[in-house]
Order: sequence, then structure tokens, then C-alpha cells
Amino acid sequence: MKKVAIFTEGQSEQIFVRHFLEEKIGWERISFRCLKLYSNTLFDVPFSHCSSNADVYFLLINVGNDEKVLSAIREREEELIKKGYEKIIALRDMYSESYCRRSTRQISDSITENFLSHWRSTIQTMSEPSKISIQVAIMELEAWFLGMYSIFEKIDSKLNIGYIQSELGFNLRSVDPQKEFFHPSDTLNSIFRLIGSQYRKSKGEVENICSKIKSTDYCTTFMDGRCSSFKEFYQELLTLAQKT
Amino acid sequence: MRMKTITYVQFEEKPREWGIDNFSLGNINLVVGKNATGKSKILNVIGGLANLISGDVELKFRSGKYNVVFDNDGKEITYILEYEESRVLKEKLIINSKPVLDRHDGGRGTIFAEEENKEINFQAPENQLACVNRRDDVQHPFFEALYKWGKQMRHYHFGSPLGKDCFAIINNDEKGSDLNPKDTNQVVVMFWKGRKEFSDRFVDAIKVDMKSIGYNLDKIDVGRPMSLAFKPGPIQIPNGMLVQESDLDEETDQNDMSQGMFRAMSLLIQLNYSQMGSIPSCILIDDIGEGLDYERASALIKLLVEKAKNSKVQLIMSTNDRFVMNNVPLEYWSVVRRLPKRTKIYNYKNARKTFEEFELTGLNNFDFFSSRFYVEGKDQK
Repeated sequence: MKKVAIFTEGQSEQIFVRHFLEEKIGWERISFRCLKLYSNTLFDVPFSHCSSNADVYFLLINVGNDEKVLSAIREREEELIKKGYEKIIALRDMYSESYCRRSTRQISDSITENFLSHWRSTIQTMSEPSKISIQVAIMELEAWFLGMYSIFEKIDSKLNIGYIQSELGFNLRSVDPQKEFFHPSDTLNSIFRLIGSQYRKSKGEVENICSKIKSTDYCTTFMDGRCSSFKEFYQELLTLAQKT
Repeated sequence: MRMKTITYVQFEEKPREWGIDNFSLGNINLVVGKNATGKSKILNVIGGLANLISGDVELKFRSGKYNVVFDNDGKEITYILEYEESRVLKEKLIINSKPVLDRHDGGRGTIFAEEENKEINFQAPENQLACVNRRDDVQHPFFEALYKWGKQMRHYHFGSPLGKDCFAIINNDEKGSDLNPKDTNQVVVMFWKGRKEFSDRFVDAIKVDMKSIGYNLDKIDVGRPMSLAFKPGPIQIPNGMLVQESDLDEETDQNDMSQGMFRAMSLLIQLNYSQMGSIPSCILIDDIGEGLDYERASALIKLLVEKAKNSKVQLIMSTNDRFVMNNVPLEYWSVVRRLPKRTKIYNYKNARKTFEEFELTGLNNFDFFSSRFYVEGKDQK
């Protein structure tokens, strides 16, 4: 069985990956275990799943901080590879305090590229760089949710594209969320406030959103040329899950 | 008044020579380094200077050479002190490029007299600092800022018991005037005096601080340690700290408190007392976080940084604890490295490019230290 470890910067990313795997690859073909890194110790968190027919095992580790993702991999990569992990993936947001300090709170392709190139260089300093990769949500995972715009109507019928546009001034069908929104979780919160709700990245909120995303939503976002960072993530995970 | 830079050397050109060159400080500083690289020594050098210029400690040291620059609300104050075998060899005070004290071997020198508006000759005992011996608010008021800085400095050794082994005999009619606020073992007297001087707001401030680091206390008090037996006799029973933790039925006395909890409480009692009494100039905390778990060490460091951000106090801490390092932004860091006869310091002021380069790597702060990135830059493995 193929073994893959995915280190995420937070709980939201971990929940998203779990839902993505269930939806796109399917329960039957995968087993996974979810862990949280706290005080340099790993703890089990919901949920783990074991399928007797699985051909890929995913270890999903929430490290709890964007700057910890590569550090946590660096500390564990040799051990994981020794234990037969074929691939270790880092999943983090581009949005960070360091980015804010450099950018005057605007998305800048050159700053984004600079960070990406340094993060890749950091991977090159690890023991087996070819087995490690980084996926980055630009600017945040929530940009990917905004790219899957049909989910909002599933959450509340009021939240259709037209209503969101009339209230907030952007058309989710035509904008590219990874180029448009510097702090996508704030944008998502603005959308939820339209129905008297809120988005604060809580476990329940993220689970609720992810449960509304169906395979077709992932495919549409993958196909329509927006959110290229999601496209890269999608491709890498599906390639890894391909049957050999 | 805030220390801007310090250069120090002891036993110069002798086999025991050790020093630091031009250490630039900010308002908040975390001195980071492996064991035996000189972290505590740096804090001791700063604390030692404060004790000398406040007159709290006599000059009984064999060798030392200081060159320190302070910022006093925009005024630059340079203080130079050299001593050998407990004798002052050189002492200078320069304010905004104007020398106001220039003293040499033999204790002789010149000092500016404000009333006369001219330099006058003077001689001070060789084993005394002129800034202490000649302190005079009328003729030499420029010493006051230096004196206050030294007097109001506080130096805590977080790795030490911080008063856990010390009890106090307290009579309620006493004023507690013999309290030395620099003595970090006098926490019982300090709490008792603080409550008397500042009433409930003092106790409440400590409770709030303790809560923010994960200790929920309904009550903090001074009283008889219940876990210790005392023989009946004429000697008064000493008092210690008592707390009522929210989730326990019984009070806990200081003898039964965990070392980590007592250290944290002691530090917070002393900090709150200093802050309510007068604003401390400089707070030195050696080995911050020592003995605390991840959650509490992280919370304590955040609390201290926030307190320092909201005041004029200069905070200088040292650590080699990864949790502390990961919770203090790199802009506050000074990494120390041991070299022959010197401790070399890397910080934003002298190695800005390396620090900024590291920020791009996506690694956490501890890696900056553990991977020796501060020395080897991005080519490190």
C-alpha cells in the first residue's frame, strides 16, 4: 500500500484534505489517520478511517501554525521515509504575517514567487527532496472555497451569485479568488454575515462547508482555469492516488 | 531611559579575557543561545552595571570595562567605566556629545557644575564611582537619569526558586520598609506590602496575569504554611504565599506549590509591584520559561511581551527553550555565539539580511537557532 503524509498548517486544511480524499478518491480506496501536533507531540484527532481494500494510506498531520509546516516535516521526514512513506506534502496558506509585512496588504505576484521559491529551496535542504513537495493555497484555503461558489447556495438558498454580487460587489463566477482576495477568510466571513452567520474557521464551520463540496465542485474549479493553486493540489493528490 | 548599546570586556589582554562588542538592544529583547555561550553573563553584565551606578552594590570586582549608550527621551547618554582590582581607572559621562564627567586613575577628574556653569576639579575615593559619590541634584543633575535607571532595574533568574524557599515574619503594624525590591527572594513581603499599598487592584492584577497563563486562582494571600510543622515556642511562625486554585477544595501553600507555578507567580507579583510603584527602567529575566510546560511558557512569554509593548520598560530575556523561541518574533531576537574571548551577537541590527532571508524559508523560529542559520545563512543544511 502506498503511504503519503500531508502536513497542514491548521485544522481547516486538515478537514478540507480529508473531505477531498473521501469525495475524490473514495472511502473504499483509502485509509487515513488524522493527528495534531501539539507541544512537539502528536495526538489523534477526528477522524481516522481504515478500509481493507485501501491502496493508499494517508497520514494527515495538523501542525497548528503556518511557519511550523516545513519545520515539522524537516524533523520527521527521514523517519517517515524510513517507514515507507513515498511522498510527504506540505499544505499551507500564502497569507502570513511575513507576507503582510512585505506587501502592504495587496497580493503581489513577485512576493508570492519569492516565498514559493524560498520554500522550495528549504525543501532542497532536506534529506530526500524528491519525496517532499509543497502545495500552497493562495492566499488562503478559503480562496478555494470561494472558487467553489455553488456551495454557498447549498448552505443557504439566499446566497446565490447575484445576491452576493449585489451586496458585496464581486461576482464569484467571474473573479479569480486567488488574485482578487488578499484575506479570503474575511471575504468568506462577509458572505456568511449576509445570512446573519459568521465564519471564524471553527471546526464546525469548516466541516459544514466541506460537507457541501461534491466531486463536481472540485472538478469544476479544477477545470475552469481559476484558483491555479487548487489545480496543482488537485493534480498532485489524484496522481498519487492513481492505481499503479 | 533605555540602553541602546553596550560594549564590555573583562580581563582584557589576559588569558581570562571575555567580552561583548557593541550589543544593540531594542525595547524587547530575547537573548538566545546554547548553554555556556554567555547568555546569562550578558544579563549579569547589564544587571551588574545597574547595581554599581545605583550604589546598591560596592565596587568589589577585579576587572571590567563598560561603554554604554542610553537613549533618554531623545538625549544620548554615553557612560564609560573601567575598573581593575576594585579601583576605578576611568569614568566618563557624555550627554549629547558634551562631556560632563571625566575621571582618571587616582580618582581625580573634572565634573561639570551646573550652578557655576563650568567644569570643576574633583577627587573621589578610588573604590567609588563618581556618579554615585558625587550625586547631587543641584550641581550635577545629569547623574539622576543614570541613578534611576540603575535603581529601577530588576533582574530575575527564572531558573532559580525566586523566593520559594523563603518565608517571612510579618507584623501587621509594620510598614515593610526593609523590603529591597531588587531582592527577588522577598516575594512574601513584597506581596504583603503591595496589597497594603495598592489594595485589591494589586491582587486582581496578579490574578488576571496568572489566569492568562493558565492558573485560575480565586484567592492569593499570605499566611501560615499549612504543610509545614512548627514547634511551639516563643518564635513567631513565618508566613508564606497561599493560593486557592479554582478547581481545588483546599488552599495550597508555597511549600506545596509546583516550582513552575511558584516561579510564575513570584515573577508576576514582583513585576506588578514594580509597575505599580514606579515604572521599572529595565527588566532582565534569565532563563524565561524554565520549568513551565509548553502552554504556560508560551502564554507567559506573550504576556511579558504585551506588557513591555504597552510600557516604557525595556525587557531583556534569555532562553534556550524552543517553545519560548517559537513565541517571540525574530525581530526581538539576539542570538549569541561563543567565540574565543568573545560572545558574538547576531540580531536584526547587525544581521538584518540574514534575519529577513530566514523569514522567507517558511521554517519556525527555533530552526533559525537550531540550524545555525544565523551563522551560515541560507546555505545551511
